[in-house]
Amino acid sequence: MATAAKIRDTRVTAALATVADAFGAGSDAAAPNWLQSSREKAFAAFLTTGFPLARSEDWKYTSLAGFAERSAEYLHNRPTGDDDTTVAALLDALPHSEGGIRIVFVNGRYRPDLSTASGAATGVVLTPYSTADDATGRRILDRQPVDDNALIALNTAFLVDGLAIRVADGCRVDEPIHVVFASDGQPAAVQPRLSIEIGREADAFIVQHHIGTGKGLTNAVTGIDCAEQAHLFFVRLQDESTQSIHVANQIAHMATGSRLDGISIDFGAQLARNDLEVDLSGERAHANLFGLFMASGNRHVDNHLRVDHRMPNTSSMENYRGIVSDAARGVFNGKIIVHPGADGTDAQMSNRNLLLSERAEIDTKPELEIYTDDVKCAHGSTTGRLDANSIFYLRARGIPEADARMMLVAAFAQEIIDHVRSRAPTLATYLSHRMSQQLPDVTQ
Amino acid sequence: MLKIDNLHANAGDTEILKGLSLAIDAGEVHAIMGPNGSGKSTLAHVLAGRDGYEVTSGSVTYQGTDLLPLAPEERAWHGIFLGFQYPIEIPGVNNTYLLKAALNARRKFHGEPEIDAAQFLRIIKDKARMMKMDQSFLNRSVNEGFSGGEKKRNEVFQMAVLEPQLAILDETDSGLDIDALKVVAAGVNALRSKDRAFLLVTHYQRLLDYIEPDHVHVLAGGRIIKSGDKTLAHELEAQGYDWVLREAAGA
Ligand SMILES: Nc1ncnc2c1ncn2[C@@H]1O[C@H](COP(=O)(O)OP(=O)(O)O)[C@@H](O)[C@H]1O
Ligand SMILES: [Mg+2]
Repeated sequence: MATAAKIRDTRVTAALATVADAFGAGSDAAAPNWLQSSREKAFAAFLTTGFPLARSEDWKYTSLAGFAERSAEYLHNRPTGDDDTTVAALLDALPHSEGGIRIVFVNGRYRPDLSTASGAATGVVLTPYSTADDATGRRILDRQPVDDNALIALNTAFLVDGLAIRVADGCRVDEPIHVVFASDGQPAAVQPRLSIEIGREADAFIVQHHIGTGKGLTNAVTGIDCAEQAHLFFVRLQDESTQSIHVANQIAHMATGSRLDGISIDFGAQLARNDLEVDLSGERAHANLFGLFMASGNRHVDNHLRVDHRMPNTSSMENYRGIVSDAARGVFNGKIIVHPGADGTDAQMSNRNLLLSERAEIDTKPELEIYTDDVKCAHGSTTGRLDANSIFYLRARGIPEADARMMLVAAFAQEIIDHVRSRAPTLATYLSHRMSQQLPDVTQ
Repeated sequence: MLKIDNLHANAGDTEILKGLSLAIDAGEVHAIMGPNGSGKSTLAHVLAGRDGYEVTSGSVTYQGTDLLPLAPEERAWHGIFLGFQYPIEIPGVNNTYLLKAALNARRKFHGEPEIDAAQFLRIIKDKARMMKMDQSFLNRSVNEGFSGGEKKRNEVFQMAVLEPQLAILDETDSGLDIDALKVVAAGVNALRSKDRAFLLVTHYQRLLDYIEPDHVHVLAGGRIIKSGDKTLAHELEAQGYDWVLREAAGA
């Protein structure tokens, strides 16, 4: 192994000892009782595996040394209160929620005073972990990933709060359920947790939105459970400060005939790593997964996707796009596994990237593991610069060259954002606006 | 309006235009015909300022000034329009948005204020109707998913909105059925005026049945080898290019 990687692994191991001290320093008074045993179990699991190391194939391009060190520092140093002025400014900049449900967490804790759930339809149950009694809590935990991997285990071990969303069978919720996780810039190792259960034939739209300022540290975990014929439209929007470190795991279980429309957007973070796992465990379950990541400066954004086709006639479509400029780096790893017996599987994966500078870098890797014959699988990835023909076409119409380049970069991103528009026009407009603010300088 | 004098131009290392001369006055329609690969699109691209071509000698004067140092967008602001032989698709860039940005860029260059939104809408709706384009095309991405004929129609629609001084239409008639051809011709004819000029690159005399040219030129081997009036187009249609090529070789 390269020396640099060895040094990073040494740093990670040193951080692990400090994290262990932080856990040993005593249980968090704010954490509900019913979480305690899971926290301990998860911590034991975390100690065994430790932080993921560079030598692991899944972490080949993304080092968690900085994450481990910041975790060690922040877990020891927990803020006593939220910086409400900063939080108010962050919330002010958000789009007005279209149906009125907005649940806000600051530094990982539920803030009832900043949340409004009055618009919630009957059949929608929103339960902040900090308000759940033991029976409810245990039921929530039952459906949640606890220690599936090191980061999920770390999240569970230091979990103090979270949100469980349950949509009852047959219930259709048109208005988005907007869950905001805000970091106020204080040294806090935030472990957001979202638990989503969509009942049979229910239909819901949920936005998981991360915002923050300063050198934040977020390790988010989302568990998604869609029952038979359920439909979830799920937007994950990572719009943290560009100095923050953000890692996230989403694990979705899809029952027979259910459908997940997922859109995952990374605008922010110095280092972002996002793992999405979709388990198509019922016949005809379907996942439509879109993604957009934009990285400039020397930022690093890594998307890892895994889709398991376990049953016949399941289908998945992945369409991820990256825009990488300056000396930034983007990683896309998309794994599709078609298990024995999953006949009639249809899996399509596409990753397209715009590389806008000589120093920028993209590592893209599709991985297909197919254990049955009756499948339709296609994958493609392209990484390139702006198309010279398109630039000329626009210029010939009178668009100045710099504007033409900007227009093409924005158009490339807009195509992903447009998939939100039919369901949530206000959110789509907000996303376009945020995207245009992130556009790299391509004027040269 | 446009004076091309002994123009030589390379694409890559190959000389494509080999001493081409042509003069176009305001109010005129010129048709350029010629075999495949004779350099018609190269000429159109050089006039529009596309990268990748090198002018090695000769000159192009447009409205009294040297055209060649100008960037493509500057040429557009001065009233040059290129209708592409192969219009490209630009996913994510809305047709209407492009036209508004194009009009405003030109207005800005000329020190004029941005176009009034209502007036702009009226213009594009009128022109879309003239081009028999469904209004839904206005809000689609540029040429995305358009059929070949729709793309060509969209080129002429853009021309109609931008109202150029000199329109260069590169095989806008290729791949059109007769109805679409008539619509395209009507679009061009509606724009004809005494201070506007057209350079129509075409393969077929058919287009010229609907748009009557003042001059017809044969481009072969990178040069204009014969010029005449519209009867030349009929002769070419009936007898092909061979006799012109032989005549030029013999001369
Ligand atoms: N970029 C290029 N590099 C090299 N040769 C080119 C390039 N573009 C065009 N050519 C060649 O120049 C010649 C003229 O092409 P073109 O102008 O497209 O002809 P036309 O439009 O008359 O059919 C052709 O032989 C073509 O292959
Ligand atoms: Mg041509």
